[in-house]
Amino acid sequence: MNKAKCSCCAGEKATHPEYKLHPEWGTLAELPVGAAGTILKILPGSRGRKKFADIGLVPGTELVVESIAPFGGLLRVKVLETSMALHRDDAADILLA
Amino acid sequence: MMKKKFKIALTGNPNCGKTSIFNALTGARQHVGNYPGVTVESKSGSFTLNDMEIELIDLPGVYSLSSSSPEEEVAFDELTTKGIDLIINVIDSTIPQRSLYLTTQLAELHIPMLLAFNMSDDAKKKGFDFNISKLEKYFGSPIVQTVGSRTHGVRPLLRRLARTLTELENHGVPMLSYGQDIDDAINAVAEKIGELHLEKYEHIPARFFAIKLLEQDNCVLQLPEFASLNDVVEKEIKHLWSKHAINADTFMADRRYAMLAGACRETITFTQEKRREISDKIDIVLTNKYLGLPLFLAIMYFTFFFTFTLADPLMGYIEEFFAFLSGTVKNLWEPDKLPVLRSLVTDGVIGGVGGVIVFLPNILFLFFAIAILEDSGYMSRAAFIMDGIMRKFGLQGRSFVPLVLGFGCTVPAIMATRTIESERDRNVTILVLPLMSCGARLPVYALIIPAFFAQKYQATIMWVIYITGVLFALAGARLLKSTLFKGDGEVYLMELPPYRLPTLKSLMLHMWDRGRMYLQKAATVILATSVVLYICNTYPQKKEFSKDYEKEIAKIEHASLLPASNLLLLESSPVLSKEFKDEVKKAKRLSPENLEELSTLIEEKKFILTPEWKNIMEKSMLSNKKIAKLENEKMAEKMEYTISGRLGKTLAKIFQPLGFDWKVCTATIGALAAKEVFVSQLGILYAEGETDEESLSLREHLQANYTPLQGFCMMLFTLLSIPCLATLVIMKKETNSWKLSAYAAVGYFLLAYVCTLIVFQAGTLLKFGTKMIGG
Repeated sequence: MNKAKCSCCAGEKATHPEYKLHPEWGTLAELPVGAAGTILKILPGSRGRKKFADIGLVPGTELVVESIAPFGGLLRVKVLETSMALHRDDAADILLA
Repeated sequence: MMKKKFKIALTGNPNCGKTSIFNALTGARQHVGNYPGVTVESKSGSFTLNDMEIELIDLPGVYSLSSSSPEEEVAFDELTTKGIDLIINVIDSTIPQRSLYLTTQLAELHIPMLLAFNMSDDAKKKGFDFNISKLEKYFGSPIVQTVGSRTHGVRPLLRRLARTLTELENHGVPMLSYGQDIDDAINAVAEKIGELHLEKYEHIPARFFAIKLLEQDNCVLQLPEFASLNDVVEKEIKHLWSKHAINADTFMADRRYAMLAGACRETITFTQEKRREISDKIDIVLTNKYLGLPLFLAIMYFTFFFTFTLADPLMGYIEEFFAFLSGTVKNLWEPDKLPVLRSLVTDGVIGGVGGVIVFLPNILFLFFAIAILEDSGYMSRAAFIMDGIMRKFGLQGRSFVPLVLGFGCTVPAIMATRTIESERDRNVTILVLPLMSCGARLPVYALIIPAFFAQKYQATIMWVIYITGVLFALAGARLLKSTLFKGDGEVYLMELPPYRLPTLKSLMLHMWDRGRMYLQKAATVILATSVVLYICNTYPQKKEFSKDYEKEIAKIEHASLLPASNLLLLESSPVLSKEFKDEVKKAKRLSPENLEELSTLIEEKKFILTPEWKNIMEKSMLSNKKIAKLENEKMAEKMEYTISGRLGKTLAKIFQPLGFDWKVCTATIGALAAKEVFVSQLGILYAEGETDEESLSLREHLQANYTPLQGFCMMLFTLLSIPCLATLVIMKKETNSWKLSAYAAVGYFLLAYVCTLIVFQAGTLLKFGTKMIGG
């Protein structure tokens, strides 16, 4: 997968060591609308680690991308039966299995 | 017998229906305030249950008891402070697994707890079946199923609460296990905490703090009492890390979810699943990629339409009431008894406070409409849709509604920023809000634009002024976000709760809260400022004038007395009322009011205008005009002599480079009380008496004395400069910082000064706008 195409971060995330080790991993930011995934890992440098954990975004949790806001930016994700909106940049820190 | 007193904390996730339970329990006996130092709303209420007096504290909705937001810090502080007898934890039983996450943390506090499984009707519909007794054992707390949105739905809670409070002594204790390795670490740290013998926290088990230390929670790490334990904690974390390769900050979360998943599997059965709920169906339309934005704009439009259409007639009544009140007081209070206090009360206080209370219907209806959007769950969808655009300017989705409200009045707009969770974003939104041109500035534009710009340019100039405000607000937000409020900020996470029908009770309470806040403001700050401004505009009083106005007026009056033949003619008219005739007979002349009445009658074709009558009326009109002119000249002389007038003259030196003379400066000072005062103040100074924006002769004065460029500069300055005092006060209230509001005021002034300076100097240099544009 070509990480440099990531629209949200101009490919910055591609330099993260985790990606270099496992280029086959995808992130939540890349999941299309309607698709489901299971969280594998939250990148250690993510600013949202603690808040993510509090709302149930921990490894092993299943989630579904419900929709994308107009004008980009927000993703609507269903996690633990609740719809949560979060930013694409932050979603890029969530690795999926 | 003394009533037994209990202090109960109400906790739960955001959107779990906590507020409706709070409202159902306490009714109108609520107190809304702010926690010191943060902009988190504190709510408490009281009620009696059997022979018990209960104080209920509504803690902010949180997902967890850590410290990742001001709300969580507040909840943490309240719960760890001594004196809470019981926690009522509200669970959204349609999403038990998420809601119970907070419960696992609360349980570790070992404070007696009562679990309210709320929205149990929805959970039933969804096919959930709970093994209540098993769950009760698991959490060591009684559980009751409630429906917070209906009055009878909270009755079981009251019954259970009464029983729980009488049995507080033998309340159960939960023993949650997070796995052998972590339990060992917790015990090791807890033991060390026990050795510290902390008196302040003796009511909370050491275990609670041990867990918080192990998950490196800031709230606890900051407490100096635990600083000595750093090494022990670090050792345990390292041990866990090496064994499981899990990160300290999330392993507890991970284990809690694992534990809950197990517990839920044993106690909750799921019989059926409705694939798509109604709520999701609504969202397919409302948050649609293409339809979402136009629908949002339409909903906003109807909100404002609703507000202003309904409020308009009420505003009229309030205005009439205050005019009546002022008139009545004036009639009852004889003019020679304490004349200074008399005019201060009638003109200063009643006028000033009335001017503020007039906006109360607007505030009430607006917040009623906002409460509907908020309680139904639509507001977070609106934020979801607008976020992309707003973020480009350093703001966020929830900033949009307050910014639009800013076109109406900045005060309620600032109050509406409470829906923005991030403090940084909220402060930026509040700071740029005064740049959105509010309704009170409209009279200023309406006065100046037609004076200097031809009809075909008027709309364009108005548009330019409004757009200038919007551009400055957006640019300001960007600038603030990249300087003073710099930083990545917290991660943005927003729940989109399912749509729910708001309850009337909660809407009314919400409306009343905001209305009360506004009235409090009117009763305190506005009252004080209107008194001060009244004094500035009245004192010192001029005793000696450049000419004897009274004498000159009397002279004109005498010259305009109607001869006896005219009075007889008047008497013979069958159309005129007796009061009219008596009045004219007494004064022997026609007052402006008399003339107006006559003109109306003529227009209605009830009174036939003979050449003789025409002559009488024209003569009277002419002398009345002369008298009015003299009276206004006197008023202007008075004004010039007062504090405001003197201040204006002093400030004129500073404002000269902007093209302002002392009269404009004085009007600008008046505009601090309310922007529209600029017009009436300028009117007085140009000796037109009390004017409004429609006033033609003030416009003539403006045309004679200023260039269109100066006119534009006045508008620009009015737009950008320090907002009215009410805005500054509410700004202080909502940001909890006098310093920020004071800096903001200085900032607006400098912005206005520099921009107006540039425009005026550049315009003068280019000889632009020196005469009526397009005229």
